[in-house]
Amino acid sequence: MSERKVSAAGPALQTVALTKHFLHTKNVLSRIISGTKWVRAVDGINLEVHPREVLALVGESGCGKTTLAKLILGLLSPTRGRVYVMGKTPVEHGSTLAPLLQIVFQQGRASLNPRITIGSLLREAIRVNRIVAPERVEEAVDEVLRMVDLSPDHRDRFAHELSGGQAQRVVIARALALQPSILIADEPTSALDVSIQARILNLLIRLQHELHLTMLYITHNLGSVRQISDRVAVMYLGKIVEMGSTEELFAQPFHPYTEALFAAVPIPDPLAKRKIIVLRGETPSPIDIPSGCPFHPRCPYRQSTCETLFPELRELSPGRWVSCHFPLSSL
Amino acid sequence: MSRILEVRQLSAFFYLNRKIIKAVDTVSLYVDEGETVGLAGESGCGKSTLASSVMQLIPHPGRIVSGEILFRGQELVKCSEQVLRDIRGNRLSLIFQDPSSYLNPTVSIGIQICDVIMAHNPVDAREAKHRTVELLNSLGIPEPAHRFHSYPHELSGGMKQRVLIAMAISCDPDLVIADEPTTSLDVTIQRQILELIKEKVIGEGSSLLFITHDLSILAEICDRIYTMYAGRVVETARTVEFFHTPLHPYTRKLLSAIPRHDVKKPLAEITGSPPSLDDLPPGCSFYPRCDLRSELCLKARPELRELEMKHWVSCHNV
Repeated sequence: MSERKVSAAGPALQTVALTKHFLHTKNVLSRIISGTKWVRAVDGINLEVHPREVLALVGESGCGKTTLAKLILGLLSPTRGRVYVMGKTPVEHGSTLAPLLQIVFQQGRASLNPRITIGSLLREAIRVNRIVAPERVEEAVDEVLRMVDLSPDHRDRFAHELSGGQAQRVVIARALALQPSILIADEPTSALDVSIQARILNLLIRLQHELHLTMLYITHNLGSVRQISDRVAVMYLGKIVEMGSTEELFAQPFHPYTEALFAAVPIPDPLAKRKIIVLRGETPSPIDIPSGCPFHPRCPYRQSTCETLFPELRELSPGRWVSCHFPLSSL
Repeated sequence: MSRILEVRQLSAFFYLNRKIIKAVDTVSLYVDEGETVGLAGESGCGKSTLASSVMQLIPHPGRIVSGEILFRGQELVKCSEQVLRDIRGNRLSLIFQDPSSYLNPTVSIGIQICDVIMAHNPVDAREAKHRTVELLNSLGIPEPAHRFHSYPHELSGGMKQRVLIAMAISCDPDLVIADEPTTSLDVTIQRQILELIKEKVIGEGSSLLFITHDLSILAEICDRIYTMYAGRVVETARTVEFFHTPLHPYTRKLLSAIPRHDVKKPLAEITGSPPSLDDLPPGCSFYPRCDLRSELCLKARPELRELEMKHWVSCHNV
């Protein structure tokens, strides 16, 4: 492929106090009676993804990770805060954003137009964004198909003729057809079987290396995070609770929520010795976020401070951020 | 130890207009008293059809073609509906993956559990309600007396799964079949449900047949494991042997394809996709994706052989 757009310095992707609140009470009467309620989906997130880095965003359903992706893509406008893609906001980028920043969605087949062939949907993406000269479009289509290990005869197929894994590879191909420098992958493997999942994951790892992609990898699957990412940010109720390099974070989580996540996932080894932590209750609704530390009602180590005082995200050791009054390393 | 469930050479096919889907093809398996048995496989391998065959709930146009299902020595395949009603939900119960589609949306969850209790026990409505509230409480549902009147849509996924477990264990069954009970749940909720199954099903002495695509869960709870591929059992072994000395090439690949969060390692890939069940090759159905394949695999279908104690494999080349 041609030379890639690599920024000289600074983060490839940055969010500053990024916040998105959705209106919960749409009914005017009930708004007057009981006041307006907001769903605090994303609440003041500061994030930096450096060029050629893979940052994994981990969290359970409803923690706001997909909303964050949509904000970065400019599909939603933030309530407060800013998104910078290569130093500019999505609005400032306008139509130049798409060739820079692409996304791979969870449901591969659902994000492919069922009425046109794979070839024509790739061709369209390349032509509309003027990625290559018109006479080289066909070549470019073959090239991206090859990149994702699909043979050129997949051009004439329709989305319904593909298996789940193939559909996901076409979605990746379409994203890469624009030669982006940043790729957002939103749960790209969670709808797939184990054997297929490994293949997509290996493909993403390989392409990230070969094309020097910056990647925001969004998932709830901790196993895949360990394999693919350089850094990890853990989200809970719209906020980042812990952030750090993958190896350090997996070796010693500082936030009790991160520890509980690790301790909840089964390991495919019957002889592995480990501690299991069962969290109380369920994630509270993002409409009524608990006072103080949002995690305190479920936290096994909570103290009275946690009920009243919100723990700001602080840098405990270089690169290791945690939002907890009593981080596990100090216990 | 007595045998609770024995499935012998069971075949269950779906008859569509022009083709026959061989979802379960001459499968044999057994579950002993107090045993937890895992059934692993990827989507479309026939594991759920096997579960519904055992319950005699296989949906149209599927039907059991041949084979026997013995539950405590009683043949279920040719059983009358009357006898089945006595067994299902009472001695043999099922927990599904997707609780919202198995709960009646128009009836409160308490009444639905009461129905199960009253169908199988000589108790009046008041006693049934009392038992239900106790059951909800023991399954960690907060404010059980209040929740009794809740409808399924008012509960979260984890809570609905608890209700389904409550129904399944309400009559103290001999065998519980759990079909992907934790698959659609979040990590921390999955852990809660898993601990609940350990405590309330395994801990209370019921046998358990746990069906899942997630081998990691099986490592934690099972005594023995079966792997299915394209409608057939390809390997079965005790849990430790299964994970530490797997023999079938499919099982081996599958195990090394799991991304683990406790170690960083390259993931094995299985190229290609499973064969379609209406057009299986004459030989081994794993042939096109196998590393150990030979001439023989193309011609003859490998039968299960016992290579080590309680470790059966269907492969010509191991």
